[in-house]
This record gives sequence, C-alpha cells and structure tokens, in this order.
Amino acid sequence: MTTGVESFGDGTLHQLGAIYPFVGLEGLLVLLCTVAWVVWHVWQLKNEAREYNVETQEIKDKARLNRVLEPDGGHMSA
Amino acid sequence: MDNELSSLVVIFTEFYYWITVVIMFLIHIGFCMYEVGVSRRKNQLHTLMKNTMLIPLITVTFFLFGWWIYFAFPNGPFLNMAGLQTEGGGLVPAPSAVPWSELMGVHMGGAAFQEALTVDDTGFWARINGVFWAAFLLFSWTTGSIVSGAVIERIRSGAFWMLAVLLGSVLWILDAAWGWHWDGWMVHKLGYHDAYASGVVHAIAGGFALAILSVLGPRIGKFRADGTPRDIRPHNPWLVTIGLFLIFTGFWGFYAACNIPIIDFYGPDMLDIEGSFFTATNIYLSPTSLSGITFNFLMSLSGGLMAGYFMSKGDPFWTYSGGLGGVIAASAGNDLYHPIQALLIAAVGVVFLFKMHFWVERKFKIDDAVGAVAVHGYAGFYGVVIAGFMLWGYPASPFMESTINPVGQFLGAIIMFFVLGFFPGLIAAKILNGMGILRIPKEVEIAGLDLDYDLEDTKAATELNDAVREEAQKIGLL
Repeated sequence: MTTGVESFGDGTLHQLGAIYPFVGLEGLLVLLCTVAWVVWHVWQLKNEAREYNVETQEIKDKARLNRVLEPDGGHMSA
Repeated sequence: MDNELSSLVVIFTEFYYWITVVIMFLIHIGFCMYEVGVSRRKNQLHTLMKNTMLIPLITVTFFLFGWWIYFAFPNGPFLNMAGLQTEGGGLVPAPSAVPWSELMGVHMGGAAFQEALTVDDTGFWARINGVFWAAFLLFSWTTGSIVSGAVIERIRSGAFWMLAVLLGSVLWILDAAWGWHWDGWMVHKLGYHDAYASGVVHAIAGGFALAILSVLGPRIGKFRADGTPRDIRPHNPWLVTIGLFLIFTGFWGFYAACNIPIIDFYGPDMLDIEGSFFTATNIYLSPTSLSGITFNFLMSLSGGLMAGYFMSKGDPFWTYSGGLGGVIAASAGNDLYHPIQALLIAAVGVVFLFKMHFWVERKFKIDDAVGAVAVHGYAGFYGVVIAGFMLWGYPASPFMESTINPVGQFLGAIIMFFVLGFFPGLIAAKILNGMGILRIPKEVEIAGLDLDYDLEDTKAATELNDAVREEAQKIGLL
C-alpha cells in the first residue's frame, strides 16, 4: 500500500515523474484551492464590515477619543 | 540531466534562483518595517497585517493563474489578429505552468507526461519550475507592497487585498509576458528593453497606486483649507530607515533573479552556431554579466542617495527613498550601462521623481504616504524612456531584428504606467468605491485602525489586574 512512490532504490529514479502523493488528483486540489481563495475574500469583507460597525460605536467614548487626538497621535506603545 | 555538464548547469540554476528568492524575501521584511514606521501608532498593527497578508493571497493566485499568464500571453493584445502576432498568434500552450500540471510539484523529470513537452523540457522544468515561479512571485509581492505603502491608514484591507491580487497575479505578469519575455510582442514590435524591471514592476505599480489614491482620497487632515499639504511624520524613523536598508539588500536578489545565470550562448538551445560561449543573460536572453550589473547596481544606488540627500537637504526619508528611486531609474538598462552612466541616470531620475512628487501632491491633492508613486512610478517611467536613448540601436533580443529605440521605449512606458497600471487600477478602485468597501469609515480613521486591538488589550489587562489584585488580597498585601 502506498499513496505514491513504492521505492527509490530500484534504479529507476530517472524514469520517475511526479512523486507527491495521490498523483492524478491535481484538478480536484486546484478546485479546492480556488474555492478557499474566493471564500476567504468574502469572509474578509463581511468580517471587516462587522468590525467597523462595532468600532464606530466604540469611538463615541470621549476619553478614548481624547487620547487618540493627543499630539503623539496614538494610544499604543511603539 | 543525462550528463554531468547539463546536470550541473540545471542544478546550479535551480540553486541560484532559490538563493535569489531567499534574498528577495528581505524586500518584504523591509516593506513591512517601512510601512509600520511611517504609519501612526494608532494604525500600525493593521498596517502590518495589510502588507503581510498580501503575501499568501498573491502566492495562492499566482499558483492558480499568474504563472500560466506569463507563458500563455506573450502575443499580447493582438490575439488571433493575423499579421500582428508572434508565434502564429493566440494563446501559447503552457503545459508546465497550469496549476494542475504535474510539473507544478516535486517531479523527477522522468518521461514526458504530455505530448506538448519533450523529454528534455520535462527534465528542465522539473528542476526549474518552482524556483523560477518563486522568483517571479517575489516580484508580484513587490508590486503589491509598493501600492500598500501609498494607501496606508485609510484603505480597507479587504479591498486592498483584492486590488493586490489584480495587480500581483494578473496585471504585472501580463506586462511581463508582453515586455519581459524573450518572445514578448513588445520586444518584437517595439524593441522594448527593461532588464531590471523599471517599467514592468515599478512603473506599473506606481501607475496603479496613483489611480487608487485618486479615488481613495487623502487622509483626514492631510491638506489645509487652502490646499497646501501638512506633513504627517513617521512615528518611528528607525523602522523606516532600517526597512529601506533591507529593501536595498533584497534588491540585490531582485537583480540576480532577473538574470539567467548560465547558458551556452552558441549552443543548440540558443543561437546554434559553432563553438561554445557560456555567459549569464538577461530575461531577453541577451548577454550580460553578474559582475557588470553589480557595478551598476551600486553606482545607481549611490547616485540616487546623493541626489536624494541633495534635493531634500539631508532628510533621511527622502535620502533613502532617493537610493531606491535611483536604482529603479537606471534599472531598465543596467545590464548594459557604464557604471558612471548608471550613476548619472540615477541622480537625474531622483531629481525628477522628487520634483514630480511634490508637484502632483500640491496640484492634484494626492496623499501618497510613502512617496511610492514617485519612487516607483515616475522613476520607473523615466528609466524606461531614458534607456531608449542610451541603448538606441542595440538588439532587443538575439533572436529578433528589432532594436531598442526611444519611440518604442516611450510607448512601452505608457503601456506600463497607464495602460496596464493606472487605468485598470482606476476602474477597479471606482468599482470598490461604488460598492462602499474601499475606504474605512471616518470614525475608525479618526480613532485608528487598531481600535479593536486596543480594546482587547484593555480587556486583557483589566482581567489580569483583577486576578492579581485578588491574589494580593488573599495574602494580605491589600
């Protein structure tokens, strides 16, 4: 039982092609990768829209706003 | 791979490109440091993530379709138009570059697995495909990073990453197929020459960034009521300067990656004439040497640094940017220039980009946070044009009758900056802006993009302090 190569020691290395497991399923892998890529963009757009909605409310905290507007321009350490 | 010499050449080439990729990774460390240093503290973590995540997104898409575009599209916009195309027109078969190819993985180069590939081709691409892909991929990241710096502190990451994929995995690699390919139509028809990517990487990215900036608008507070710009200073000059130093370092790898390290120029795969002549070549397969381009890299860097220092009266930000801009300004012809020519071309290019940056900023209210449009876009455009005069009459490729000339280079610069950079960027940015997903809300821009991190910090610190206080009470300290 092997998912790919059975032996590297039989003197036929120069005849070998692809040696990753499950040769022949490349099309399926490409399809999965494409779907993951597209889904990632959609997720990011939704996630940041939700995040900005929350933050838009949080900024109404006056103390925090005053800290941000200090001359050093920030509230976090460098 | 059937005799010692050919095996050595192939495996040396494989290792050579692998090394260039590792060195070029420093460009992206540098870009991250640079952008974080330039951004204000309230935005620094989001700025870091915005740049970092373009790396996986462009990598995945460059695997899926970017690499195929390079080999499939050298015929350019004249697809299937009889009489204008090269190689008979249409898409060029690219069996080793489609994402489902067995050669896009670990492969021993055994018998040809497709009719379109010979046994020799299979053996060659089995060793070279991944490292060559990676060298081009690192250029793709660079195009994305160039834009990333210009738009900091107000673009939404989700929109930026889609734009980065468009530029890094489609537009730049399309321009490479047209004008940075030994058989590209621009090389055939225009005599286009751009050895170290003044146009194909830098001008296109600068044009693309300018288009996005024109739609995105300036950061809040950037311009006074009378239209004059305010200076938004870097929050950490050390990160900025060390970041730029790292970009310089990575640029060495970039230059090396633009060469083919060893090839028998007279051999059967090249001119096929009597004798042998082993040399490095540029991407057009024209001879050059790693030694010669090393002279030119350092002399153009020096010319750029001196001009940047002179023009800015010693401002560190513009001095370092001048160094980078100087190399970019000379890059189109740095495979052939004399070192002092490279120095002078770089210095004049930096004067040009410096003047252009402030003129465009004042005239059009463009807020380019890191000067990326100037350093990459204007310097790249200038570099392509000046190479047309300096290298007038040189062969564009050893396989063609076309020669380098000023008109071809000027048209090439227009194609890079405007046709493939500015206009696609403008359309994409307008679409995203129309969907309301290009720019962050004003409240978030005022509070800072790192507000979410800050809230988590406060929550975590409060919870920890409560626990410590409770323990202190238990042992009688409080």
